[in-house]
Amino acid sequence: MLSFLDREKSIAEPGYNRWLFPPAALAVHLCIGQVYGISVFNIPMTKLIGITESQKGVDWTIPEIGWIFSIALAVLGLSAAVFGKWAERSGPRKTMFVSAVCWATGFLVSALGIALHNIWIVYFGYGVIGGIGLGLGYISPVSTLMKWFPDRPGMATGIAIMGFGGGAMIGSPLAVELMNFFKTPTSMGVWETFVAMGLIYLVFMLYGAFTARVPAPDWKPEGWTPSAQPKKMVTSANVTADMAIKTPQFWLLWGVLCLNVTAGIGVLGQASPMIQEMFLFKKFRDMGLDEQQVIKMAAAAGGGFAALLSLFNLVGRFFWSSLSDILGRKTNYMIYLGLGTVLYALIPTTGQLGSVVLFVALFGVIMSMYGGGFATIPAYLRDMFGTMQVGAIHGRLLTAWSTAAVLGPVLVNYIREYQINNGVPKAEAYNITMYIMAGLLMVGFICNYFVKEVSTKFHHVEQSSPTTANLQTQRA
Amino acid sequence: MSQSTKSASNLIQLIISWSIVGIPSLWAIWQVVVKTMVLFQ
Repeated sequence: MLSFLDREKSIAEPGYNRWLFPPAALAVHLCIGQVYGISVFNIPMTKLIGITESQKGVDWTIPEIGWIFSIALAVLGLSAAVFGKWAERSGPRKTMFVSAVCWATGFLVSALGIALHNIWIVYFGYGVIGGIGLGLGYISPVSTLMKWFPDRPGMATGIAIMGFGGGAMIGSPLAVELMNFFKTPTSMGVWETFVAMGLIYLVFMLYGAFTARVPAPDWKPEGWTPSAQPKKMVTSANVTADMAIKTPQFWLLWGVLCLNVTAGIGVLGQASPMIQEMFLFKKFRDMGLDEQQVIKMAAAAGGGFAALLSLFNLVGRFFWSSLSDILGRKTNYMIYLGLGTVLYALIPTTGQLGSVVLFVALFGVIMSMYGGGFATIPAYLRDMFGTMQVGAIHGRLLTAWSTAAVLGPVLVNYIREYQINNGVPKAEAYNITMYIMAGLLMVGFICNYFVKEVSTKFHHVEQSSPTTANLQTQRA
Repeated sequence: MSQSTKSASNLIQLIISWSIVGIPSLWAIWQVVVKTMVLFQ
């Protein structure tokens, strides 16, 4: 019945403009990227019963609500790893369609959980069903983008993954507008907002699914011929997903992604309180404002800083991944991890100098490279393992993201609490954390340094037309 | 379908597709710019 979704039915006709595929990919990524904006529901969800204020012992607490995000990200990594090969076989249209159905169903089931005030239904809805939608949606366009843009694979995947970074920027203000619209004296308007957002996302993602096309197997961009000279660190062979996980390169890249994301995600969640405690409280007090005004102004400016970082994260995804097409993936990661180490280590100095502009500038570059790390990894995998099962390999690598999503915030929060409990002033409590993050990036730098070309013994042998590399292997 | 009709149809599809994803994205970027202004006041 759903055969119209098959890969074979979505092969583009001659003359199809390849620039029509990135909007289809963006339509999916802009929707699923909402997961990074889920915290917009935190406060309203703690007042579902009390309405004006949270009722202790009855209303949900912030830590209980925080699990929704953690479950969703953990399931994202797991589903991308488990269903990666299926997604590769089925093609982007079917994968996007299933992702859309899961993502929207996740919202609708969660709406039911909120209406019934049962957090387990929300965990299952948004966390598990929605998480599967996240994982499938994230990997669905990646390998197809690289097939449409063999001349610029970094830029192509950067566009889609930029959409994931932008999803929260759309989702958060949209959720606020909808909650204000649905709010009544007896309801926070949260479950109604979940229903509305689920339906909006369903339409948007189905648009992406139905406009997605895969190139014909022999298709090449007009006027482009693959380089006859083999490029260093870019393979012309293929490695299957099952074989890729047996290579040291896969695990080195797993470490690179995990450490880069751990460092970035750890400070991303702390950005707003960090700038407030390091600069803004002092700045507003020096202006002679009373304590109430200081807290209000600092919170607003801290929110602005967090929003600015999300913009840097977004732009970095496109900028750095496009640059990797020129510099090479390994060089790009050397920059992310090497420059990142230096910049993290410099953050405490900006606090001592009292320079908020320098602090914002350093964090802007750090966040752009955090986004760049996400956006460049699919092209790096393609360079290492070829295009044949790159989507499935990418899916398995995303377990590094799930690990980092737990590790990063725990590390930052634990170290901070430990220092404050030992009498370190709040404004200085971030210093050690920054040095530890710099250390993590240093380890990532070393992992990246050891990434070399994949040995030919791992290459996939085509039954009908063995590649030169494999012929060499067979002869050897 | 002639070549020119095909090109025109492709161009219209491109404009529509990019507008569908571009307009919400520009709105989101504008929201960020407005919020960020507070930081440098």
